[in-house]
Amino acid sequence: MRRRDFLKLSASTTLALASLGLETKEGFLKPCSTLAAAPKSLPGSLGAKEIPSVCEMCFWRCPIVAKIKNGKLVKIEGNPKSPANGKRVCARGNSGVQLLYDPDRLKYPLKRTGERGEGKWAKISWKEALDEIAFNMDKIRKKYGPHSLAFFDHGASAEFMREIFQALGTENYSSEPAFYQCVGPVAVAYLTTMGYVVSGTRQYIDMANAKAMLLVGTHIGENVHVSHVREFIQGLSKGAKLVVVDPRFSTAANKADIYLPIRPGTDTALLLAWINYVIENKLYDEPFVPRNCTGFNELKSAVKKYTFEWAAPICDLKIEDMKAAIELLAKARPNTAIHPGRHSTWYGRGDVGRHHCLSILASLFGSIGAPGGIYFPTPIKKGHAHCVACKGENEVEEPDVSLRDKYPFIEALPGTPTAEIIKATISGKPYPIKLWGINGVNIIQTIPNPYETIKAIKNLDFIFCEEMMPGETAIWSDIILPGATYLERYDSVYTYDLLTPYVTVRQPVTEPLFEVKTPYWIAKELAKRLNLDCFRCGNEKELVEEELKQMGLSLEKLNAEGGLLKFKANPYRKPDELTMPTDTGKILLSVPDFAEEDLDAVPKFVATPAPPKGFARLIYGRSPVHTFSRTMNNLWLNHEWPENHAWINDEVAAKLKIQDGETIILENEHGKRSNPIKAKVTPGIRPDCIYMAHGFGCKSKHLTKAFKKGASDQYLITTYENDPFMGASSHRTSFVRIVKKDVVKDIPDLRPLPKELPRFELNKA
Amino acid sequence: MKFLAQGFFYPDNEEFIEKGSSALLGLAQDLKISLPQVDKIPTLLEHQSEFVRLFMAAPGGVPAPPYASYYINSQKLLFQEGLEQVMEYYQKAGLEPASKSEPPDHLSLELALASHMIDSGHFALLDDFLHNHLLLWYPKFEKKLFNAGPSWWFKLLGQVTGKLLKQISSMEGGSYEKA
Repeated sequence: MRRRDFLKLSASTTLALASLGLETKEGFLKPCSTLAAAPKSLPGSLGAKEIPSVCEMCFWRCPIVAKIKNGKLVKIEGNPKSPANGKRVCARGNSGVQLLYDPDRLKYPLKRTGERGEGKWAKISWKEALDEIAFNMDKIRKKYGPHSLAFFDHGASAEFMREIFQALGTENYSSEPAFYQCVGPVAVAYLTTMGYVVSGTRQYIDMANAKAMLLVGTHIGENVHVSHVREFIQGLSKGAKLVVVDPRFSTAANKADIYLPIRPGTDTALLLAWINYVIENKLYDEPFVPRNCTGFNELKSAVKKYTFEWAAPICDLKIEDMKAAIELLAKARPNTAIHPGRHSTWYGRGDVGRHHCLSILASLFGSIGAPGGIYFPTPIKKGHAHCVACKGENEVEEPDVSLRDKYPFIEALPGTPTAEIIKATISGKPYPIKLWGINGVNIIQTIPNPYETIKAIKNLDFIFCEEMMPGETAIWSDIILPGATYLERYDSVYTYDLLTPYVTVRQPVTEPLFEVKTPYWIAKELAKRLNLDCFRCGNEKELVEEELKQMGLSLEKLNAEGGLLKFKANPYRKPDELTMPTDTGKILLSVPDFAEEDLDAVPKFVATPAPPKGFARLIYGRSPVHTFSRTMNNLWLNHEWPENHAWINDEVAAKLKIQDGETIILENEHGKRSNPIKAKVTPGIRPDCIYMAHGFGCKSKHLTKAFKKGASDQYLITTYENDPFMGASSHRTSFVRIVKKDVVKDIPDLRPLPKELPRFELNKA
Repeated sequence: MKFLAQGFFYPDNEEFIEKGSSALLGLAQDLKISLPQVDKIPTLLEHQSEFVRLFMAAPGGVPAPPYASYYINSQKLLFQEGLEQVMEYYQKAGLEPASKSEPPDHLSLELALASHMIDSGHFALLDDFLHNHLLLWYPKFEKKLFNAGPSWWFKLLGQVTGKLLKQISSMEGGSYEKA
């Protein structure tokens, strides 16, 4: 057949096609101005253009170099100029390529067309999406008052949207799971006792120069933050001794000189007994403590009762091991790294106290400001871009009854505890919350009791999110705004104030793909619709230039230096010249402000309920190749670690006839059951707990590679209590037993439980 | 061909669906494709929701990603070799997409490119384009679309496009009467 004979259309078809007017319609294509075909080039990333930037596959923000060929990102490496990570990035850092080009990523603004959570959408324009969000924010604010709006936020992408919520006058302008489900208690403990946040996003602990280190439940090597892991390894390679306290034989425990497999929930008992032992045996730094600390006598008398004999049955540890560990740590003082910990929302009431104990121990060893101990940040004065802040409405007027009222030590911190927002959204008390905005965080896989979170979402008049991937939170939203990934945008100038200070900038390695927009553009457009005078820079690049200008820099100058400038560190202090950033200039061993609020000035041991009969405590941690629940759909990372496993003690498994690798289900104290999960049978975990890596068991069917892979710890954490200092939610207060082939199997009691540890009462669950 | 390109683009007006239904059924009849049971013409919202489900975001993942790169790449990533391939054809035709909201290897844009080649008489280029690019991935796309249980409209659109591309590719060179 020749082409002229091709497709003899019927008259009716011709007529129907003509009626569409496609011949006169504006076409999909235009004459070429910019597109160029890919030139033949060298293989792989050879010959690629290099753009310095900053990673955001996790929150650690390692400097990177993105390699671009023909407009396509082909490889990510560490920025060789970076003194923190050099050319190194972790598995996640490498896999940013997969995030950018993931076919599952969100590409267009979407509006829900089915029921909430059903996953049925229509694509809408940015104008329609932003108009509708602005309309609902305005309507709900006018009807129920400013506090009826709440914002859940995380990371750099949420910074601008947070300004909008704040400008609209809600006290709930920030509710960061990164704080209330993670670092809150440790941040409060150190801010109060030492005057600065020794551990928040980062930890100012000099492991590289330590002669001995203590890790209490800290899983370095499983939570991979490149410079942090490097410092840990440097310390060990130089001969530092290591004590690890953990109910599970973790990656770090594997490298320990002394490993203490403590009973979960009793860490504070061990720490108090150690503090008492150090004082009684004068193992503390005698000139340092009286010069630099207050409250020593109160501490001494308060901890007197905590002996090794008392602690041993509670912690289920041998006295000689506890003693050997503390003597090893004391011998190395002041070059002892008492790691402050990071994720600290474990048991509720005792969490601040546990980190207060760690702060006391470090102080008794005189290791504050000493090489190998806790050090001071080296602040780099960052320029302030005046064009960001909103004019006029920045003062949030507190409501008559605030969601922050119950928590006396929240004052210095922004935002509202997540649990309080969820409760108020469900109950309407003390005031109604009717709209949620969410940016950069999958709240359903992050906040305990997702069943309650979903119940709250169903109560809302409106919910929207700005996201990159269609995770659980996105599918529950009314409108989804597709946000640019870290590879498609500028973010504020980034300063690193640890042992190797530097300044750098995140910059786009490609234009935003599809119809995604940058967080600055989204916030600017939304602010306009809400008549807020914010974001006066034309775009985020102008913002970055304004910040850099005040530092005597520009993007051009910074990029000429490889995208990063180093500064000299000032981390150490001589003990006789030490002035702490507290009111008194001293470290507070005992905190009178705590006592004024009926909390413990010196930490006490308060037992957290032990597992009920037939159950084990659920504990959790991180996978070294994943970040929370964010990366499970990334092809390369999914390939490395597609699912988690339930670690079960080998003696328990033998009694329950569970084989290594066998598929089981976990059931918690409320009868909630997990996805099927494979058992990892090992002597490397105590018999009274079951462990799994966090972030798996994805419930979003939109994530093709992550859906139903492994089990979610969060969906099993339905019992929690709030820390009384700042309202963080506990995560290690739920319990599980095993279901195999539909038969429920009780966990046998293999370790004796002392009377000081009452069991959780199932009838109150 | 312009009609098919428009059909695989996000629908934004009711009129196109109504009139397009007649055109689609007529094309199917002319191409001897068995006609489906048409109980109703979808409303704009129904049609948009189905489009999003099939090509943009859906539980279970996007059933039929309409991008060449997804099929011409072992890792099923976007913006990869499939895009690099089609860029060469855009360059040879002296064209580029009018909007950046979709990558140049989106099916709709590739059909528009084929349409331009036909209209401008670039048949050698068209042959090359079909044999060495579009038909390398379209059948895989069509199979995925079919497996997703699409509405009659998109099922028929997929079948018509498939048959038409196949017919054009099997012809010898020469002039061509516009479809």
